[in-house]
Amino acid sequence: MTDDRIDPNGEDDELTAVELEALARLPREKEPSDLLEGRIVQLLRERGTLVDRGSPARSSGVGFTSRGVPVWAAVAAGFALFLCGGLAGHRLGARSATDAFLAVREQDAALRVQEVGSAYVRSLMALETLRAESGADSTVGRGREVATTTLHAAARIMARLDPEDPLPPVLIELLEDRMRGETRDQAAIRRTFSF
Amino acid sequence: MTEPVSDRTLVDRVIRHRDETAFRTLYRRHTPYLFQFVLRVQARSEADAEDIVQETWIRAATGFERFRWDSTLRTWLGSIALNLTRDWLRRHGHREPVELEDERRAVAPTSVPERLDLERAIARLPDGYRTVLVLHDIEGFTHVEIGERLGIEAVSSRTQLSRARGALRTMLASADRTAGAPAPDRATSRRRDP
Repeated sequence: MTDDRIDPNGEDDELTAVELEALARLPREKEPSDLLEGRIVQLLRERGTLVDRGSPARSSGVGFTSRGVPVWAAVAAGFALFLCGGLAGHRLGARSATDAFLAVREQDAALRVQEVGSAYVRSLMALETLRAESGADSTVGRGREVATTTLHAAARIMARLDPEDPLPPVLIELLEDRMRGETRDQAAIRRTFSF
Repeated sequence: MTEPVSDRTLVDRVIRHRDETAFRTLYRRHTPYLFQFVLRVQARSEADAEDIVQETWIRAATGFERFRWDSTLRTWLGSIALNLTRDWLRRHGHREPVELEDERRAVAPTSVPERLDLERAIARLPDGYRTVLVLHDIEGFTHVEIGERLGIEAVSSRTQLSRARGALRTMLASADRTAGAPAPDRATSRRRDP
C-alpha cells in the first residue's frame, strides 16, 4: 500500500484495524472446476497453440491413448500390421506349395496335383461346414481364396512340367474364372476338382 | 529441493515448442488466483467467472509472444482478466447501487465480520465501487495504478473507494444491528492514522 491511499482531503476514511483484519482474511485463491483446464487446453490445441506430447499428469482429452497416440493412428497401424501379416502369410503359403511341387517334379507331379486338388475340395467342404456353424463368412472367404491360389499355382507348375498335358490349362482357366469371381457354384467346382 | 521453473521459462516453452505440459503448469500456478479475482469483481456466478478465466487464458496463450515482461505474468494475466470482466459486466448490465443510509452515520463493525458476510457485502456493492475496492483494498493497487487499469483519474478512483467503503460499512453495520449488536460510537471504533 502506498501513500496515495491517504485521503488528501483529510476525510476520515482510512480502514480500521477491524476492517483491515477482515479484508486480510478474505481468500486470495479459489479452485475452479476440474473441467476448466481440459476445456482450455482443448481449445488451445484446436488453435494450434499447444501440441499434446502425452505427458500431462491429468487426463487430457478424448481420442488419445494413454501414451498420447491418436486412437485412429493406433487402429490404422493395427490394421496395416494385420494386412501385411495376412499378405505375407498368403504369399508364404503359396511359395511353400510351389517349392513343394518343384521338389517332387522328378517324381509323380500329376499325383501331387491330384492330392492338392482333393485337399482343396476337402477344405471347401470344411469351410462350408464352418460357415454354417459359425456364420464367419469373412474367415471362410479368406480360406477359400488361399486354397484357390494354392491350387492355381500347382496347376501352373503342372503346365510347365508337361506342356503336352491338356488338363492343367483347363484347370488354370477354371481357377482364374473363380478368382475373378465368375459364377461357379460349389458343386460344379467340386465336380471339376474331384480327381 | 528443486526450484520451480520460472514463468518466463514456461512461457518460452509454450511459444517455442507449443508445450502443453508447460502451459498446464502455468495454468495450475495462476488460475486459482485469477478465478478468485474474477469471481470477486464480477460477483455473479462461478460458471460465468470460469468463462472469463477461460477467455483470459486463451488470449494470454495466443499472445504470449507480445508480452514484454514489464510486469509479472500474474499482473499481466490479471489485467486481461479485469478487462474481460468489465466487458462482461457492461454486456450484462450494471447492478443498481444499493440503497444507502446516510454514510456519515454509518459505523464500522465492532468485531471482525464473518468472512462470508464481508464477501456478500462486497458482492452487493455497485459494480464500479466493487471493482475499485477489490483492486485497492484486497489486491493492493494504488489509485494511480487503478486509474491506469480502469481508464479513470486517480482522484475518481479515490472517490469511488471512499463511497465503496461507506456502502460496505453501512451494510455491515446494518447486519450487526439486525444481529442485535449495539451501535458503537464511530469515533471510538475507527482507527486514526497519525
